Amino acid sequence: MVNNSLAGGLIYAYSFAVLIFIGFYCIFARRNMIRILIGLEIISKGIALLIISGGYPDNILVAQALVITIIVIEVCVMAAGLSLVIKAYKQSDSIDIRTFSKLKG
Amino acid sequence: MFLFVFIGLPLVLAGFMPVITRISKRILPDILGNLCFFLLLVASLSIFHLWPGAGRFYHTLVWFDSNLNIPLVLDGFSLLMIFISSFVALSVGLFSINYLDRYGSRTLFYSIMLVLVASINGIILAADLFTMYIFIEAAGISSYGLVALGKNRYSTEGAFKYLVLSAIGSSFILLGIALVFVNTGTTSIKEIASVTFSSTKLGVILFLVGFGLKCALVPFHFWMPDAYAFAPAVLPAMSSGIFVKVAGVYSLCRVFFNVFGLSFAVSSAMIYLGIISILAGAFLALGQTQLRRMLAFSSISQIGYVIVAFGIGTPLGIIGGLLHLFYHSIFKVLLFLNAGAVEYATGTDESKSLGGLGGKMPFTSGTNIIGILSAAGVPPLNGFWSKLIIVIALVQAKMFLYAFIAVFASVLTLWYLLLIQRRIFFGKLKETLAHVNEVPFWMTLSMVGLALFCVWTGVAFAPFISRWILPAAQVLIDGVRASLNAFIIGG
Amino acid sequence: MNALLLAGVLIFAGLAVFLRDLLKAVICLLISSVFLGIVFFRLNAPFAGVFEISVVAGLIMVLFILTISLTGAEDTVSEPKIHIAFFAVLFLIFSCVVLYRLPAAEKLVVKPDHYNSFGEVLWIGRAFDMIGQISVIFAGVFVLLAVVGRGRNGK
Repeated sequence: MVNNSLAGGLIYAYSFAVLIFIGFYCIFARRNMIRILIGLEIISKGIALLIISGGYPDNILVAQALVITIIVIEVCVMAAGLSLVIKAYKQSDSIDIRTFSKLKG
Repeated sequence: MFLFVFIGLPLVLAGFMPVITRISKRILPDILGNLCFFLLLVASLSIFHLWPGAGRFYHTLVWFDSNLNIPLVLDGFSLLMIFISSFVALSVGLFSINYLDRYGSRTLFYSIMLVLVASINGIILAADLFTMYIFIEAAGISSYGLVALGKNRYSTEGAFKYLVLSAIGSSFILLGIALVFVNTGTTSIKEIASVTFSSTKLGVILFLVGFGLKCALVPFHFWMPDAYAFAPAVLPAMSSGIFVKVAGVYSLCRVFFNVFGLSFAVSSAMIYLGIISILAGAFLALGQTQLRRMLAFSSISQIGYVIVAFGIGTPLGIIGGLLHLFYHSIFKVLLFLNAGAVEYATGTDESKSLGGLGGKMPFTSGTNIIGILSAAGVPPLNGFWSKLIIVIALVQAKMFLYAFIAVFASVLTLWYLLLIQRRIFFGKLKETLAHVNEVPFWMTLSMVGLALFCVWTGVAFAPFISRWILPAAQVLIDGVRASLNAFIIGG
Repeated sequence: MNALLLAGVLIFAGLAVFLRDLLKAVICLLISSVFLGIVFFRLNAPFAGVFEISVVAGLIMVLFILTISLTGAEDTVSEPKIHIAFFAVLFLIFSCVVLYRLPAAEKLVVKPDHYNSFGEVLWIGRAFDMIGQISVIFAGVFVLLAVVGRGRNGK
C-alpha cells in the first residue's frame, strides 16, 4: 500500500522504517535524558522523509507545507524537553533517568 | 466569523497577558481570564440556541475580501465538546483565583490555560486531520507547562515522563496521518471520507496506539499517575477533564467513526482495551493512599467505560459513551478540585497524614460526597444514568460477561473512593490539623457549582439527553456519511 | 545517488544513538540532518530542504549543545534494558510483511495538487495551520518561561 506510491519505491520505505526503529530503540534503551530526546528527533526525521517521498511527483507542495509545520512543532517540543532536563539537573545533579524512578507508573 | 472566537479570543488574550501584568499583577489577570472563559461559555450556549438540530456546517472565514480559507466545522458532537471545554475551563479558572496564591506566577498560569483552551477548541473545530494534530501538540505542550509549575523534584520527573510518552503518542498519530497522506494525497476529512478504504490495517493500528497513549488506555497509561500525583491540582482537573477527552476520545471517534468507518477489528480492539482499562484502573486504585494518584487510576478506569461504550457501536452504546464522557468531566473535575482544596488547606493530600477534616471543611467534604456518589454511579446522581445505559448496551449486544465486569468495577469504584474519603474527612481530627479552615470563597463557589450541576443533570437527565446528546450521537451513528454531507456557511 | 545520501542519513543517525560521548552524538545527528536536507532538495522539495538544514541542523542542535554544556557531558554506562536483537527481529518481521503485501497492494486515489506556487499553499490553502503554529509557539514560549524563569509575582 505504501510502496507503490513512494518515489523510487522501496528504498525510501526501508530507510524510513530503519529510522523509526532506531528512534524507538534510542528512546526505550538509553538512560540519559538527552539521548531520549535525540531518539524523538530521529523519529521526526523518519516521518518527514515518509511525507516528502510519499508526495513526490504530484503533491510535493502540500507535503512541504506539512513537513515545515512538523519541524516547527518539533522545535517547540524539544525546547520544552530540554528546559525540563536543565531543571531536573539543577534539582538533583543527575540526568540519569534511573534516578527518577521514584514514581512507579 | 463567530466560530473563530473560540480559538482567536483566548490566543489573543494569552498574547497580551504579559503586557497586562505591567498594569496590575493580581486582579486584572484574574478578571480578564475568567471573563474570557465566561464569554466562551455564553458563546457556546448561544450557538446551541441557534442550532437547527442536525447537520454539519462548514464555516469559511472571509477576511478583508480575500478568501482566507479557514474551514471550521461544527456539528452536534463538536457542539457538545465545546460546551464541556468552556464549562470545565470556567470552573477551573474560578477555582484558581485563590489556589494560585500558593504557586505564584499567576499571569503565566493564565497564559498557559488560555493557550490550552484555544488549542482544545482548535482540535474540536478543525476540518482537517493535520490541523487536528497541530492543535493536539499545542495543547500537549501547554499541559507539560502546567505540570512543570509544581515545586518539588517529583513534579519535574512527572513532567518529563509525561512529555516523552505523550510525544511518542503524537508520533504514532503523525505516522498514521502520514500514511493516509501518502495513500490519498490529502489530509482533509471530507476528501478522505469520500475514498473508500478497505485495507489500511497498519494505519488503524497506529491511530489506535497513538490515541490510546493520549487518553491513557491500558497498556499506555503509564504517564497518568506520575504526571498527576505532584502537579498543582488544576493540571489534573484540566487534563483529565478536557484534554484527555478531546485529544484522545474525541479524536479517536472522529477518525474511526467519521473518516474510516467502524470496522469489526477496530470495534473489538476498543472493547478489549476498554475492559482491561476498567479492571486495571479499578484494581490499581485500591492500594493507593495519595488522593490525586488514586483519582488518576480512577480516571483510567472511567475512560475505559467510555471507550467500551463507543466500541460497541450500537446507537445505545454511543449515547451511553457520550453521556459518560460528559458526566465524567463534571464529577472528575469536582473530585480533583476537592483534592486541590485539601492540599491548599493542609499542605498535603496523603491520606495517611490526614483525618477528620469533615468538621473543619464542610463545603469540601459535602461536595466530595456528591462527587464520589456520582463517580460510583449511585442514583439519582448523574453517573448512575450513564453507567446504566452502558450496561444495558452491553447486555443488548449479548456481551454478558463484560456487563458483569462493568457493574463489578462500579462497585469497586464506590469502595475505594469511600475508603479514602472516610480516611480523609471522617474520623478523629489530628492535632497537627487543628488550624485548618475552609478554603476561600472562589474555590468553594467553583466546587459547589460543579456539585449542583452534578445533581441537576442527574435528576433532570432526560431533557438533557434529548437536546444535547442525541444530535451528537446522530453524527457518530451516521458515520462516514456525516462528513460528506456538509452545508457551507460563508463569512 | 539518492541511495548514497539515504545511507548517509541512516549511518549517522545510527552513530548518534550508539556513540558514548553526547557531544559527538549530537554532531552526528547534525550531519544526518544535512544529508536529509540534500535528499529533500533532490526530491523537488527545496523549501523543506532549506527548513530542515537551517532549523533542525541549526536551531535544535544549538539547543542541544546549550543543554549539554549546562549539564555536563559525561555519559554513564548504559547497558540497554532491551537488547538490540529484539528490535532487529521486529525489523525483519516488518520487512517480510512489506515484501509480502507488495504485489497485493492496491493503488488508491492520489489527487494531484491544484496550487500554483508554494506561497499559495502555505498562506491560502493551509492558512489554519498557521494559526495552529502560532498557538504551538505561544505554548512553547510560555512553557519555557514556566520551567526556567522565576515567577514575576514573587515566591
